[in-house]
Amino acid sequence: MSTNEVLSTFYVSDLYCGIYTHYVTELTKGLEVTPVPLSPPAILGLLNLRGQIVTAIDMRMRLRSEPTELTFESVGIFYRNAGSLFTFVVDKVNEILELDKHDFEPPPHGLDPVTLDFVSGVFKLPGRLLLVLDPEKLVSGIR
Amino acid sequence: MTDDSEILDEFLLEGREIIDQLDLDFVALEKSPSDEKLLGNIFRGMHTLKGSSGFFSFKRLELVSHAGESLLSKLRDKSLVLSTDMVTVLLETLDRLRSIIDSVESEKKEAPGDDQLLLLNLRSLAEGGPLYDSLPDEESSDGEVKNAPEDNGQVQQQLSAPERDVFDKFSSDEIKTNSSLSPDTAQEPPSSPEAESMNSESYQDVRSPSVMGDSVVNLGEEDLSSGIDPAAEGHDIKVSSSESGPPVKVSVELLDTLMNLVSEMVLARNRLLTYSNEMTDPKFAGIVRNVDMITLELQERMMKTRMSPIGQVWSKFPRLVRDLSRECNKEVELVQIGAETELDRTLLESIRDPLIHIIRNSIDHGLESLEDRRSLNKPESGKVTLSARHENGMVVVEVSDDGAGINIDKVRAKAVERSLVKFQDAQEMSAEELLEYIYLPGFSTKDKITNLSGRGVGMDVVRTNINSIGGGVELKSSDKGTIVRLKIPLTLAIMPALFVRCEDEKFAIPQNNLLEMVRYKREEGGEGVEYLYGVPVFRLREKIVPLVFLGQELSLSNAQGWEGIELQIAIVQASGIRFGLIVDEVLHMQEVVVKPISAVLKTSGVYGGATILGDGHVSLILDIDGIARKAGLATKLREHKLYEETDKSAEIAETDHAMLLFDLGGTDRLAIPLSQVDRLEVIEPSRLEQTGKETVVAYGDGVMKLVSIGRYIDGTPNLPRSRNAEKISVIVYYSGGLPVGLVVNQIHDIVYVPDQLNIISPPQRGLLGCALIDDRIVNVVDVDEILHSHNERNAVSSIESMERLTVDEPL
Repeated sequence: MSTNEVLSTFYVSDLYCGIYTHYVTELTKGLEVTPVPLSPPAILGLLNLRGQIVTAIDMRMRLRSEPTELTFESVGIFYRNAGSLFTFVVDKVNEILELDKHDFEPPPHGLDPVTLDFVSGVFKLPGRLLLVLDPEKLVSGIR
Repeated sequence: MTDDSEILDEFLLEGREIIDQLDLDFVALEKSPSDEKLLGNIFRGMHTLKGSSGFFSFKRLELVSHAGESLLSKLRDKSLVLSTDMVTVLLETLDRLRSIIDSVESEKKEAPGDDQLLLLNLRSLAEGGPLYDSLPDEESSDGEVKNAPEDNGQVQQQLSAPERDVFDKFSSDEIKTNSSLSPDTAQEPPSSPEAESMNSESYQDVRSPSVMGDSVVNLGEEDLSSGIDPAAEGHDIKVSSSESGPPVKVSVELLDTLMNLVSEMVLARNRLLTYSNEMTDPKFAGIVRNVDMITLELQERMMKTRMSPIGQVWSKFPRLVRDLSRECNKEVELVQIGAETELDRTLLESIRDPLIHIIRNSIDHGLESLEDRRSLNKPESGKVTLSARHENGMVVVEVSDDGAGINIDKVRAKAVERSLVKFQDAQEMSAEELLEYIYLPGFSTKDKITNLSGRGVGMDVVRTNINSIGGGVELKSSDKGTIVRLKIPLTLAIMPALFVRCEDEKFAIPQNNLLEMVRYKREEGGEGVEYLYGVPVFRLREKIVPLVFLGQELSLSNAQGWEGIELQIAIVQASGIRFGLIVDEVLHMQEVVVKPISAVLKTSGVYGGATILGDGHVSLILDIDGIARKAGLATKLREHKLYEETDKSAEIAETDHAMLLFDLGGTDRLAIPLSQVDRLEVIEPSRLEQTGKETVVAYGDGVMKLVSIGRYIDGTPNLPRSRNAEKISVIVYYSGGLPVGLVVNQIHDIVYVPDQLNIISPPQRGLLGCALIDDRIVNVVDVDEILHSHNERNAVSSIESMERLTVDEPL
């Protein structure tokens, strides 16, 4: 019985975040996003993943209320929810980490309340804090 | 052997089919009570139902169907004569059976319920007794008609035992065959499209037309029907001959998956085509063309599997009409035309409710009472006609009645009463404008709210529903009756759309909404954008069309108003509002596969979906209705009554015919009725080929012959046209089911020609007559005569044809 959790980690602005890999269907670079006029600011637009329409979510907007600039380092983290495909557009991906469940802690006080809404907990790593994001919360209640 | 749940599903499917068929049969029987074949069929249907229910020990089903069968057997043996009461009770029996079957489907067991009154009535009628309104006390207490499952179950089990043997004998295989093969009764279980795709247990019949052979196999005839003409058996149970192979059942889920794959294929093909245009390798181009053709065919065939005849929805209506007409105390005859017209099965469900609304309106409001009809010298029996046909890639469904029509004065009075319009203005409004109020929620001219209609929730719901599937509603009314016309797209999955650019983005406008494209250049004169009460408008052929700037509406541009020198306007139509959508550039027309977008993007209401372009980019499909709503056009129009000057088309008399205007090289203008024109084609001369004497061209799956109509029309200038002409304009016309290409010089416009033509004496060959349109003479061509002369000419001699092979017919 493993007590380890596997997370895809990435950066959004200055935040170091992770999502459990079992939520993630794939990671893709080179995103070609079609903007959707009149959509909520947290929606970056739509993109095509092998014939499927994917809603791209601007993670900076979602977590930090500042717009993302797409760069060659930008990565889409794909996630399926209730039959729809979403992708979280993040600034940069980091490694995949295997961490002990026992090190998981509830989110600390003092986190930005906007960010806090999406954080299910944290892993305290040497020198930095890894925020574990809840993808379901990220895609719901966008307005 | 399959497991129980599968047999149960088969039973439910079959039960529904039988009940649906019985619904139709009972109504038909009421009209011709002595039809023995029909009675035989009904009896057999009820009997099968009873047998199957016994097999599954569904006590309520068995009791009710048994009582129904007893009454029917008396009718079949002619010991009783069918009365209206009987039909009513029998129909009630069907409703009860249907509701029990519904409960079996949802809960896998019968819902408890009290059938005693129904059973009592069925038995009483079978004994020649009266109809009871409520359960008499003494009857229920003496146990004779009691419906307590615990003590009646035993009896019923015994009763049905002999039949059950019979049933067992052929149940497992033949019942299944029966339910999947009887084309007349094939009904999908009523369910919403969503539910259908979710429910892996639902099936759709798939059969190629060729499989529907004529040979007929009778099922269980020897056991079930004594004294019924065996030939009558084929009436509703048809089985295709064994050589052509039985149709197979395919789950709806699989079909949807296939459909999605084909959509993907279409997209991949589009990408390939884009890529191949950049390549110069002819071999590669050849392969791409081949892939293109196969994809097209695949797409067409796949679409066919989604198609179902509209008759599937209509089959419920004879019963509905019967019930409604009895409630309203009117006599109504329902006529169905074009029940075989096919459309996407997911759309069938969406038009069911609107049609019911409209039929209700027709019977309750439209048709006059018996006395009124008599005094008006109309036949006592009112007529409601349902018709369906294909027209310009849409399905047109019409519900017409021969009633009194909509009382325009009442509409006017009601509109004033509800302060929708000022009294003065209302007097000036035309009938067409006033009819628009019918679509407003809560608007009803009925003084009394009846059980059937009058609540004013009718037409607005109809229009909303039909618009939501990309269709439209038109209403025409006169003292001879009302016609409600629904235009419905064939399918939602793939549609043609026009791509436009607005700022840096591409958007698709569904062709259904598109009327025409207009380009305005300042140097060509005219006003361009004008403002009327602050609403930007454009003068289009003397009509005023309100404008919407797409860039501003989508907040892509901050520009206020318009200062440029050129305008690109897409004239679109939504919810009866015509307006111009100003875009930055018109790109191209393309078939697009409509993909849903997530709910969060739908909140703005201006997108209908998204599609993937040839280059892999995503493009948004505009919801024209949504844009009109967002721009607040409907309110602006109502407030300022822009419509008064806009809708000139309403002035076109009913008797005018739309005609296509063209010329044959001279200065004469010729016209042929637009209704006969299938489409317009431009053909490259290199595609022309000879078959005997006829010049032909490959067209779709077949071959189309080309006719130079000039040579059959008197007075056509003899302008030889060389084979080197760049393109040949062809009007495709269907004659005897085959396409014929009429070769013309140039196609100009669509004009409206009055019914009465001026006839020139002596009659000119190839011409029906002429009319004066906009101070010009337009000659109306007699296509039938031309084709006739052409065929005669080409049948003259075979020797001539030998020569003709070498001397091409000049086109």
